[in-house]
Amino acid sequence: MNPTIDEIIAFELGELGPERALEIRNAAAASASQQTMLDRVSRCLGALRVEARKPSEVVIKAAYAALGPLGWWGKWFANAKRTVATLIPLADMVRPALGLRGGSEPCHLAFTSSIAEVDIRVEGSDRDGWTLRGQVDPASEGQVAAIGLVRHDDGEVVALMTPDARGRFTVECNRGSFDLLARVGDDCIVGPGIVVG
Amino acid sequence: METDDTLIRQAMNGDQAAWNGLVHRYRRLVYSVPCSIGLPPEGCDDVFQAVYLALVRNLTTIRECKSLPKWLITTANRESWRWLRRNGTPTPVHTDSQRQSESPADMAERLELQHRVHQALEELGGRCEKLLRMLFVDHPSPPYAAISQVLGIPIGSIGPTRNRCLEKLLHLVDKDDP
Repeated sequence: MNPTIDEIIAFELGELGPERALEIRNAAAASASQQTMLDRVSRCLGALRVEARKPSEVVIKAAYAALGPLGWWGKWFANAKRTVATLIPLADMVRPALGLRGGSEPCHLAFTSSIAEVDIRVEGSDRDGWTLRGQVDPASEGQVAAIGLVRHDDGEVVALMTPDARGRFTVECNRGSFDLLARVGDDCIVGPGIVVG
Repeated sequence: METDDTLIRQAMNGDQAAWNGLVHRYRRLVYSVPCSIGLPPEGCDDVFQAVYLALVRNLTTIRECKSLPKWLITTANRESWRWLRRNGTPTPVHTDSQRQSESPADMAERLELQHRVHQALEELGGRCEKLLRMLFVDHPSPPYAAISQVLGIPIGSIGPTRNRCLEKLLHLVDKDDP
């Protein structure tokens, strides 16, 4: 008779009588699935009995701090050498140069550099908040690692996000003047300033 | 429980709680590598810090989140040996001969299983976690009478409850099996 899981556990813990223990050994020798079950319980119990040493709370807190304010990307964006992209004139671009000011209609903006082309659409309102939706299309096979929105006033990275595999992103923000930055490989490109609101 | 994939993506966006979750989830695994190699406590602490700094820098390059435990073990292993070289200790100070002869692959497998089992134990929570800790993790294990009193279950029910809890634990460990 095949042993139950209760019996296998009891076997592994040495709680069975010699006759039943021998039957379980024989059942395992005759059946690969029984042997697998026995091994599974044995390995799990073995691992359970080892309580690995844990780092102290001080060390864990120091590791928490490794991310830093707004994360490592924030620091990277704040310090990166930037390549300025050029605005691409678009037929439906209602407001030129310094971006998108006022109005409730979505606005479309695109800029280009030797590293990537960036296409963004800004929509929303001061009441509901603003959303920047866009896509970064790298010139070569570089991966778009992160998108950052940096406020003009104080240089703070106010939003960070990772685009999807196709370079698409959505960033939420409040009214203000910003630079949109994109990290592509080790390069950081920045488009013309965007005035939102 | 949030998946590694979710925590990594959130941490990349600067989400401190998600990052803390990653640190907490793998604290035991990361720390166990330098301990297993035989580093002194200050070395284990240094390696722990170095691994999480490396993880912050490499969050976006870890494409396959299922491989995160392996990445952490490999990085902790490398940082441990670097620490030994830097501190003028070319060989670990381990006294356990069985561990000394263990291959890096075997060590990684052993530590990953330990991590999965203890992670599953935390996930189990409640009375099951308490009971299994008392029976298998605590040294020495308290007598049944004490367990009965602490958990409020009759002595005669401890065995069957233990088995039910172990079954649940096995199920959780299998679920996380890569």
